[in-house]
Amino acid sequence: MANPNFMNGVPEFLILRLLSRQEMYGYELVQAICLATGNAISLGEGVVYPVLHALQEQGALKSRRRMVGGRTRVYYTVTTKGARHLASLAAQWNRIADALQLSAREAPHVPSAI
Amino acid sequence: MSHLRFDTLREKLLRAGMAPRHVRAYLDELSQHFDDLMRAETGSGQNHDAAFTRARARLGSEDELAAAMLARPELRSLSARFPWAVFGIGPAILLALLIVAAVFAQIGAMKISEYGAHLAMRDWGAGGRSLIAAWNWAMMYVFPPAVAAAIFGFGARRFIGLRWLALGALLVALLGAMDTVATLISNVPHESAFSVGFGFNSDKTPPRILFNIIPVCLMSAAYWLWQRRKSAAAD
Repeated sequence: MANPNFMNGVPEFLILRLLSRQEMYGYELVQAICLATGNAISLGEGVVYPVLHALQEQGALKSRRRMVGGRTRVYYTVTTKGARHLASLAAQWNRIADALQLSAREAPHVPSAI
Repeated sequence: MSHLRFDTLREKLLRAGMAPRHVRAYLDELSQHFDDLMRAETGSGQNHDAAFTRARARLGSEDELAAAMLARPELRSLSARFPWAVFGIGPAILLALLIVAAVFAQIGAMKISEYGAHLAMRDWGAGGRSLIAAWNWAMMYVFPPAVAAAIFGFGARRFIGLRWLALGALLVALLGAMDTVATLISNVPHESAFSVGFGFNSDKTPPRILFNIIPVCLMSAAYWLWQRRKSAAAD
């Protein structure tokens, strides 16, 4: 899925959810997103960084630099504020998912031709 | 390892008003990510050229990478969000702070000399008096063009439009022409005085405005030429 209209809020939710489980750096996070979504989201992998930086700017994430194998990696983790934001996003997404499931269960109304 | 450069992306983001620190962090992490992608692709048996092409495609097109950042207004710089404050008020505050710092530096030097080395100002001799005169002259004549140059340097790093920079520099040129700094060195102990004033003097201020505006005009012309050259190179 690459339609930006359907993607509003999705990257934030996925990122916060994955980072709430463990600290990760960008590349690791992208691989985790692909795994978690079964490659359903097809966006350039680099677009994750502005989302990370914006979440960090909002105080939802914090980062630290670590040397791993002679390379500097920026690891991100969720803050307390980020955890609260994630809980609120999860509640919103659950409501949306329930509403969509409810509407999908109803038989589609096809107007009959006269 | 990657040899992938993001010069165009960097310039595009800075021109759009993204904060340099966020742009730098973004491009650093993109480079790191690209290296990881190259390792993954070469590790899966691709030759270097194929790995490069696949890694570049996986990272995202330049437009996609730019759009992702431009969609985040919280990553814009203060100078892009509030140019009137940064270039309308900031330079005046910077000039005032510089003058205050220079005044305190002079007072500090006098106190250290008097109480530390037991050498009163009146005993400084011709060299010391010349140094004080030069210091005061710099506050009045060097600080305004120096602040104007700092404004243009700041703007060049962020690709700020000439009109904002020229506005800030002109304000500094005008305000910087109205301060007066003087040190009266008395032979009577503890009678030496230091004064700082601000105001329009019909005799002294206009020539000083002219003195300050000339370098501002030269810097504006140089900046305009630099912008034109950058635009031509981008085209």
